[in-house]
Amino acid sequence: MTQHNQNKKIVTTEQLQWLKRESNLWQEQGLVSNEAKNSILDLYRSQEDGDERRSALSNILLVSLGALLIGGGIILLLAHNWENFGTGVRTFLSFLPLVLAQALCWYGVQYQPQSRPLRESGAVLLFFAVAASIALISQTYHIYGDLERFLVVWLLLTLPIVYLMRSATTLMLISAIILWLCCLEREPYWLLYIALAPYLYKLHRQNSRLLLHWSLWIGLVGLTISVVYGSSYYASPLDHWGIYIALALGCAFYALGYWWFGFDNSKFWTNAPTSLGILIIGLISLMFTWYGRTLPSDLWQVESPMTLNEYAILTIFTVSIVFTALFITRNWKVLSVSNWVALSSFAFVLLGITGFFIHQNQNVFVIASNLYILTGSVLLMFQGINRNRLLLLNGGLIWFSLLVLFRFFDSDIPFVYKGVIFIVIGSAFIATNIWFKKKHHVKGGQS
Amino acid sequence: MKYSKIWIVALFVVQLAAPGYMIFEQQQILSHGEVYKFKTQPIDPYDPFRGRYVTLTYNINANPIPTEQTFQRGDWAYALLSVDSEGYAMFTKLVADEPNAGQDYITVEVSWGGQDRGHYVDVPFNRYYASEETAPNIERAVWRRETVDDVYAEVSVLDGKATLKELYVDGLPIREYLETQTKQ
Repeated sequence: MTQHNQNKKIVTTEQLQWLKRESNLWQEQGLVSNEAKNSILDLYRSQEDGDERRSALSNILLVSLGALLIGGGIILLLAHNWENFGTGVRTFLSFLPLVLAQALCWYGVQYQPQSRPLRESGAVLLFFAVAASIALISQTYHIYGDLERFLVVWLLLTLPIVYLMRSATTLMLISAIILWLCCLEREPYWLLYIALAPYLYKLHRQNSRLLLHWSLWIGLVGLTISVVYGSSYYASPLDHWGIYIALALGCAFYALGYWWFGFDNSKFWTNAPTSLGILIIGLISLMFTWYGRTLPSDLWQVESPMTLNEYAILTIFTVSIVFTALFITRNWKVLSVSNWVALSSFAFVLLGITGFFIHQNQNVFVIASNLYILTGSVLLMFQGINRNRLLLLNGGLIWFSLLVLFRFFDSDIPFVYKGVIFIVIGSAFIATNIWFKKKHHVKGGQS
Repeated sequence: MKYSKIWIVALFVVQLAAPGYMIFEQQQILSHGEVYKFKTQPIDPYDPFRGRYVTLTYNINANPIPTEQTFQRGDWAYALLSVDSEGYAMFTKLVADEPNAGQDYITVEVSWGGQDRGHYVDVPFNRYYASEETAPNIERAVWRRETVDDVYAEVSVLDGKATLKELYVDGLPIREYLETQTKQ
């Protein structure tokens, strides 16, 4: 479905046919040229077209789900391990699903190139058949190999299906496998998402937003998990850097979403980078409010060596910082209050990096982050009320409530201090509310 | 379109060649490799794709392998093979350079250790696949026994690669052994 198609006005089939008849007459009478007639007709599409497209989409969805279940079923059947079968039978069985799936794909490409359900189901079956084949041979010969190696081989053998069969379902499945690998091992498997980037760009160009958003969510969550998991663990050279890397990533995601989809796109689901960025910023800034965090240490002084994973994470850290800084400098005039609330967390990344060179008292971080969330969440709530945006209001409320909850259970602050701070802030809230109402009342009276 | 069809055929060939090569490699090791016996203890985990298997913990792995070279964890190295007085396999040395012909060895991933005390390694034949019924039975059959002295895996070794042939208990292949146990 192209962008152009989506912008067409929907009319009934009768209306469209009438317009076609009339426009032919206009052309015959010399009132309009052939190009002008086609341009006019191109402005409309019939209701049935839309219905047909929807029905085709649900058809593809059902067929893909069917193929998904059949593929999964084949894997489970083979995983049972039919040990009574001889090696010959098992070898034959390991190739059978693969050859059948390949035959189905070929039939689709050669004889039914227009049938998308056939192409999608063939691709999904082929995706699973490859796994079934490797799994059965591994089983027969007791081949060594953990889940990681199995998934990598499977991924590499099936990645081209996305492009060659133009299969969107396989794109989702491959994204999920990369996500799985990201959660499984401390290796930069997120780099594999780069292989999917051209297809995602194609989806973006075709305005196929549903798949684009799903894939973006999966990809970005995978990247975040992989970066956090690959940097924040005991004996990691990046252990003390992890929290700043995650925050820089959050800020960069936030900026990326607005840069890509524009400032008008404020829906949570359809702007995956910004939404995920907000979640990361909210969570990490809450972590800063606790004592016990350590400032970055010298990377090359720790016992564990720097590997490809660490260098890849450091690269993405640098890219995130540069991208966020560029975004802020180029858009600072158009940024709204809520944008500033989110992006000012970037200051903590810079504070963290400078902390590596200049020793800072931990109080600086803790006090600054508490004040940041307190001010930021209240500003978000006000914005939410003023702009009538429930998402902003709720976001601010949740952020504020979590800060209050954390400080209530914070054992680093004496009870008396906590009590006084809570009473002061609570009174300030009530006072602001009274002042706000009075101001509103005066305004109402004047008008 | 014709161009992309050629790529599709190429992909199909690679997809078929990958499992084909796996079979060929295993058959080569099984038919031409030298056979060693590795003392072992099985336990029974699960793999979502390949089903049940028993993880084999080898006695040969109980002690680090002596070495004169420095290795990092995750490096690949060559573990030289020999046979002890009872006829079971043992690693004599861990080296970085591929040994000469005539010396059997296994390519292994280096684990914890150091040059002074030797290195532990990950043995690349620690999975024995079996059905959902058999795998737990193998584990039970072995762990129930007071001694596991006569449990060993027969492994075929060729050019640094190793393939597990069969698991033996009391001198019987594991499935035959399980059958005799159920008859008793």
